[in-house]
Amino acid sequence: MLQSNIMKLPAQLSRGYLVSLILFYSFSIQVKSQAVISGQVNIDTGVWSPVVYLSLIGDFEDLNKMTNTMIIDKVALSSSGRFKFNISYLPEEDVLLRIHFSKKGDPPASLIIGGKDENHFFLIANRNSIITIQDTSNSEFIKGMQVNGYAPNNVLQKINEIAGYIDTTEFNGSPVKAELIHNAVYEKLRSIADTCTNPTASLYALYRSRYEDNFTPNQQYYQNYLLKWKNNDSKYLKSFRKKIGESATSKKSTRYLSNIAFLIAGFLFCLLVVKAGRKKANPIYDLSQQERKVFALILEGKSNKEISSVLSISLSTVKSHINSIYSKLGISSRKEMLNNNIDNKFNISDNTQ
Amino acid sequence: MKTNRIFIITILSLLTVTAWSQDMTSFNLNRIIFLNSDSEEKKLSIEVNDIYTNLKLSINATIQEGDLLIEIFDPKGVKHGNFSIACQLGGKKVTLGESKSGGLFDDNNMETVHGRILRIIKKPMIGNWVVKITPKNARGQVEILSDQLSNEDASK
Repeated sequence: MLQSNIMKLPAQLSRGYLVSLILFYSFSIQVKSQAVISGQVNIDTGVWSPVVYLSLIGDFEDLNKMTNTMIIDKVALSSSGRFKFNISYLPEEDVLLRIHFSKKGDPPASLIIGGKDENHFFLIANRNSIITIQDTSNSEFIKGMQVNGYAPNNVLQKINEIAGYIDTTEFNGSPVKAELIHNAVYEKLRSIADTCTNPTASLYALYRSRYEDNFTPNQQYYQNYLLKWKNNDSKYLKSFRKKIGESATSKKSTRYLSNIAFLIAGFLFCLLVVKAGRKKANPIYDLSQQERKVFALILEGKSNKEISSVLSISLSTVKSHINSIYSKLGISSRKEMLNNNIDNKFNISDNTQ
Repeated sequence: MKTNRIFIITILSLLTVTAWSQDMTSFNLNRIIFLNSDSEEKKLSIEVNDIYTNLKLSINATIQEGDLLIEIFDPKGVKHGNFSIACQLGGKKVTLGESKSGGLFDDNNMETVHGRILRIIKKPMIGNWVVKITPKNARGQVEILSDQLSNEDASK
């Protein structure tokens, strides 16, 4: 009997092993499919539709954008305000999501920013996240949402608190003081972006710091920021790299263009100045075309009659031109014109044509 | 008779001036802009002068077609808020998909997208604040409500 039992042992062991294997894989599948976002909210269903919408933010530029195609899921709230999204279809890497509620009368795709009716908040998740949302609000609906279960969301909440400080604080000082406080808040957000170890949360801090207003004087900061994340291939960082690159390039191009424009303007200005200077130094520029011709003929030693014949004008016209020439050049006689080294003084050689 | 008419006109004028001067403590602006497959950028200027301490701006937009971008700028051109909404179906009725209330489309099976932004700016910069509306083949409407409160009203 003992021998028969011993003979049965390998078969029993194999069966046991197979059953364990099956149980193990079933358990694994179950664990994987438990990636969820669940929670409970206290909403006034007289004001808000009892539906929760989940949107995927594909690019940080779309933080304040609403379209129907961004909505990836929706669930109805239970009578106790509970909801649950299965998110096992999300990618392995973190994505930025947005949960929103719509007011009754508003379409499902509705985004409200600011004020007590603000209807959305952001969270970071991936296909392995198990997130719970707790509504701790008393008066301000969305601001009381606590997102638990995945650490980067704690950073997101901290960022929202700091960014929200600008809207909530009472300024008793001047607009200049308000601007200083704003700058301090944005500086704090950039510091969080710099030190945060989660790239999605880090980028969120940067976007909330209004980086576009800060980019030009701090390009080195942004170059260093991108260096920090150079090994990270998330689509958000790829998009941000492209944007920074474009901003830097467009600013570089603008700088080059302005420099070239300034160079050209400077060159033209110098030309004008030199020409004006030459003009001033050479009063021959004050003579009309005909007067210059008369002047040149005088220098050749021609008489008034000869000048009249060469230029086919009357003698009185020649005399009139000569008087005008005397007046403009500040001389009083033909002799003065010829004796004072006229060619060098008046540089007529290029101006008689 | 003539004296009576002059008396009535004077009283009415005084009442009007009094009412107007009371309204000077808060300055309201309410504009609705209708968009009909519009792509022309529009800018609305809101003048802030030094008697006001709070500027409240509420912009409400709904579209059934196209794209719409709303931005708020201070007198120096610094952005103080923005949102964008977009429809993907070109204003056509939906034949597939959900149409019940709570679905992604309204009860008429039309795609509608809504956006609203509220900004309360304390001690706003003096000058012209600008609301910039950039539609792209957009059909819908934008409502802009602006309220400026004086020192007395702000402390109430």
